Order: sequence, then structure tokens, then C-alpha cells
Amino acid sequence: MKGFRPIWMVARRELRERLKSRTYRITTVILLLVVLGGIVIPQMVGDGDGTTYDLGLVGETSSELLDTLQVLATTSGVRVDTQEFGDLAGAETALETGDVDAVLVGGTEYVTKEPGGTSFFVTGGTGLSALVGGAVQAIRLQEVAASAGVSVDEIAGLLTQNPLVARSLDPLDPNRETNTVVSFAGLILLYVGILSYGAWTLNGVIEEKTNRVVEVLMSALRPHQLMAGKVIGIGLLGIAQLLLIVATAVTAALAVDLVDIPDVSGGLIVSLLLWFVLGFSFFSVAYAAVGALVSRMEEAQSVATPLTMVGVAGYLAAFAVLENPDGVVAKITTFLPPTAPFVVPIRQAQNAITGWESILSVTIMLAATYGLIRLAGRVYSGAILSLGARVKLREAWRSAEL
Amino acid sequence: MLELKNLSKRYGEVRALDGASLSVAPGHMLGFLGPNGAGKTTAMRSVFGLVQLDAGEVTWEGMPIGPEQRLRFGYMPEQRGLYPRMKVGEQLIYFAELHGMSRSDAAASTSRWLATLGLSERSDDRLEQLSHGNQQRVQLAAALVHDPDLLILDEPFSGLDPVAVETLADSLAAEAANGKAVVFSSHQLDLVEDMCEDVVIINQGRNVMEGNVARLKESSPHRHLEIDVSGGDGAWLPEVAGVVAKEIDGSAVRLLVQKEIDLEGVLSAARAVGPIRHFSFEAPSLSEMFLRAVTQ
Repeated sequence: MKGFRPIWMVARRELRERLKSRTYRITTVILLLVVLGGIVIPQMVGDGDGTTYDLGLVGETSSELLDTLQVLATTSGVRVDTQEFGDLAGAETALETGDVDAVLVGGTEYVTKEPGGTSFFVTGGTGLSALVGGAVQAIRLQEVAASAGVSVDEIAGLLTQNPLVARSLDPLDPNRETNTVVSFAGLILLYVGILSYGAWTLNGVIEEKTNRVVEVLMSALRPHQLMAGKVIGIGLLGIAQLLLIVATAVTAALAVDLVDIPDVSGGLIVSLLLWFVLGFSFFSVAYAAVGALVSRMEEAQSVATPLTMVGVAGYLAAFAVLENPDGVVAKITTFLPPTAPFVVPIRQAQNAITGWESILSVTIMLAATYGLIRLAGRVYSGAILSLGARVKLREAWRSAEL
Repeated sequence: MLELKNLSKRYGEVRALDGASLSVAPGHMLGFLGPNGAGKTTAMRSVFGLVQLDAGEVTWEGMPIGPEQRLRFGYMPEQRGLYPRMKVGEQLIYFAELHGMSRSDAAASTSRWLATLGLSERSDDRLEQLSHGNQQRVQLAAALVHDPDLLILDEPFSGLDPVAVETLADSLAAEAANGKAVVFSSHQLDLVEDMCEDVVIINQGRNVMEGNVARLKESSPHRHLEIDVSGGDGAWLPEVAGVVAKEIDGSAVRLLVQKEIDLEGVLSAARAVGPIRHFSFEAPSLSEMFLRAVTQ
């Protein structure tokens, strides 16, 4: 039996046992509920961004006017619901009770509760009066133009054309805004993923020492196989959980019309995934190594803290880089393995990283992770069988079976 | 054939192993004995590369042992441990697969061993739901499930009730009869005497006695002589050379004597007093030889 088979069997056991565990199921469900709740509930409670106006109609209102009104409302990102009334009195009662926001009488009179009536001098805006006023003006303009021999299309063309050509000294990637948002979301996921799934790896390693099952395992597996299997198994489970949550969040957000499918460059998605895998592997291997140094759960915190601090530092560095993606901090942290996973996607989203910087950074990361696997494997070998007091890093290194 | 030659290992000032050696051939069962701290566990761990030896050789069929060979070995460590929340059957299948068995072979072997050890209906229980004794049986099954050529068992009988000891002893005897090499350590010396043809006794990391149990006993310079004569009170015992210790209990006389004692002289003196109800002339037990060997 060579190579990958034992590693995969360890990984598969991690996957199976953890998938079956109540803790995993419950946390997944809770996370999903939190994410869903965070997206759906605000939509149900308030109007949020999608403001809705209710307009009462009395008498004849031309269908052109109503159509134009809807077009204006859609472009302004609001909704206008209309409601017809048989007589003015009924409509005014509805206005009094707040069932409608305003009443349009015969397409000519605009009734509101506002003291002194509404002023139509202010053009533009997304208020109901501006929309109704704008629609009426547009219809009248078309009528006047038509009687002067100008076609409706010409008028419409004039109104929708950009009056001037825009140019900036700082040209903008059309995707830059959404890229930044997406990479920022990726940053948070990476941070949460590293800390929580890193803790799983850590606890899993300590658990095997506490159960003392590790001696039986070591009689059949080499330390690096056990460690790699554990990291891969937990990593796959973690990524699956994250993807499930992200997919749910995106689906929910689309379903309630919170967002459109973001216009993100495919390159950024690939880069986010790549850096997620790189960052997760790097930190998980480190967590496994420090986990081997202790034998009791109570000691887990003390060995994990320095590592967690490094993760936090990387996360904070990414915020500094977000402010200044071309600065010195950005350049340095791009090439440091603990910070690169957080920093590089942010810089990439802002088009602030050159190709060779990306390649060099990935190369350094791969080399560092490989080195860390070797190093952690040795620490793991030296420390995994000691069941007593906490092992010092140096002792573990020395007593490793080579 | 497993051979451990001149193993040496220091932990700081403590010499855990200081030249200990042992060997066991396929089809044989070796009792590996010694007081606590003698170095038995360290020696057994060295077979699995769990100890970095300072000196000495560990070979299987004449070759140094590597990860490939270890997959054909079964190990029951002194520190018992399995996954408490994992189901018994799945756990055994996992260990069999780790040792290179295919999934279907692993499943078949698992149900065979669970049946042998009387645990068939516990297959779907989590390990932690089993009693201590049953957990120990599962631990043994974990060492056996991949059908290893060599079994290394560190104190397999400790903490078991007599029924479980019997089951376990029978299983091990069957394994040895099937051509496996078995090494186990134990403090239950009467059991070892019953089960093993060969023993190695170590103390402070060194071999102090080794070989075939029957021959070792035979070569002992002492014998137990016990004579019970009707109506006797022990006064009949003649002055013979070679009596090391003497104990008189009513009509019974118990002696520790040199092997070459004049047995005929003693017997005829006894017959002169009255009819003999009991007579025995036996080599010392393994347990006595063990005590003598490790206290020298």
C-alpha cells in the first residue's frame, strides 16, 4: 500500500465520523439559519431599499401615463402600486388612513396630505410626486413634439442619450467595485474558515492523543500520513460547509431580489479558491503540529493562541491593504506566507498586483507549505506518542523518528 | 522470524533497554516477562518504530523492519485506546483497511473476529457503550483483524475476568497454531507457564533468563519435595544433605531441596513410619524462577 491510499482512508474517516456527529449537523444548521435569517428577515420586516408607493387613481388615467410611470419607477429602483377608486371621497378616505400615499384625479390633479400641496418645481428624485410629475411631463412632451412633427423616438433618443462623453484620469475596471466586495467577503470566509476548521484539526489531534488511539494508528501509519489525512478530511468538510453556506446565502439573496448575480471576474473567483486552499492548508498543518505538543484539551488554548494571533494579524493586514493596495505594507505582506492568503485576493480585486508578484507569491506559499508539512511532520512524530506533560517544541524536534 | 538483538535505549539518566534480546519464530508463542519498568514496553514499541533506539537491531525474516512490513504486524499497546464514539464494527474495518485490506475483506474479517470474541451483536454499538472487558476484546480484535503474521501484545490479560482470560488465551493459542508468531507480556505467570513454550525474562533492560519453559524448569538446581505420611509428625525426616528449606504442617513435610538429593533415603525413612498419603517431587514454578531471576 503506497502513497495516497492511507492518507485518503484517514481523511475519509474524518469526513464520515464528523458528518455523522451531532455537533457538525447542528452547527451547520445554525449557521444556515443565521445566514438565511440575516438575508430574508430584513426584507420581510422593512421595505429596505425597495421602497413601495401606493397611488390611488380616480377617473380616467391614460394607459400611456401608467406605463411611463412604471418605467420611471423601475429605473429609479422603486415600486409604484396603483389602486382604482370609484369616487373621490373613497380615495380621500384611503389617503387619510394611509392606505395610499397620494391620489391622482383624472390624470391632472395630484392630492396628498402634505400641508399646502406638493411642489413640482423640483425635478428628478425618486419621490412619488417626482415620478408622477415626470411621467405626466413626458407624456405632454411627446404630445407637443408629435404635433410639431418630431417623432416620439427622436425625443426618447434625446432624453436617454448621454449628453457628454465622460473621461477620468483614473480609469476604473468596470468590475472593481463588485470585485472588492466579493474579495472582502472571501477574506472574511477565509478568516472564519481558518480559525474554526483549524480548531477542528487541533482538537482532532489532541483527541487521538487523549484516547490513546494514536499508538495503534502509529503502528500502521506514518505520522505525516495521519497528519495529512486529518488536514485533508477536515479541510474538505470545512470547504463543503462554507460552500453550502455561501450557496444558500447567494440563492436567498437572489430570491428576495437583494442583489443581482454580481458581475465578478472569473479570475478573482479562481484566485479566491486557490488562496483559500493555500491558506487553509498552511494554517491547518501548523495547528496539527502544535496539537501534537499537548495531551489534554485544557492545554489546547495555550498552544493555539500564538497561531491564532498570526491569523488575526494576516486578517488585519488585509484591511490595511484594502486602504492602500499599492503601499509598502501591501508589497511586503504579499510575500509572507501567513498574510499572503488574506492580502493577495484583495490586491487582485483592486488590480493592484502585477503578474509576477502573484506568481512569486503563490510559489513562496507552496514552498512554505511544503516546508511546514515536513517540519510539522517531524514535530508530530516526536511529540505524538508522549502522553504526559506538554512537549517542548525543541524536544519534539530532537526525538523525532527520521 | 522476529529478532530483537542487543537493544539499547536511554531516556536521560534512565537506561530503559541495556542489551535486551528476544526472538520468536512463526507458529510460536513467546512470553515476555519482567518486573514493572524492566523495558518490556520500550522493546515492544521498537518493533513498530515508535522508539528511536540508541543501539541494537530489530529484524523480521532477517531484514530491517520498515512501514511495509509493519502492515503485516498486529499491535496491542500497553496504553489501550480506540475511538470511543466510533461504532465497533466500523472501527475494526477501518483498522483492517489501514493495514492494507480491501473493504470487503476487512468487513468479512471484522465479522469473523467479532463472532469469535462473542461481540457480534455489539457491532453497531459505539465503543464507549461497551464494558471495560468488552472494550479490551475489541482492542484485541483491532490487533488481529488484518490477519497479521506477527502479534505483539503488551499485557493483553490485564484487567480481564477469568472468562475473558480464557477466551483470549484460546484465541491466541489458535493464532499461534495457525503459524503466527506471537509475543506477549504479562504478569500472570501461571498463565504464561500454561500458554507458552518459551519465555524471555528481562530486568533493568537486560535478559536475565530465557528459553524453553520446561527445560528452564528442568535445569533449575532446586526441587519441591512434599511427603505426607499417616501418623507421622515430621520427626522421621532423616538428616540428608541438600535440604535448603523445611516446613512441617501436621503430618505433611514440605522441603525445598537440591535436585541431586538422596530421594530413596528420604522415601524409605518415610515408609518406615507408615503408609504414604501424598508424595511429590517437582521443579519450581515459573513464578518462583522469575522472582529468583529478577531479585538476584
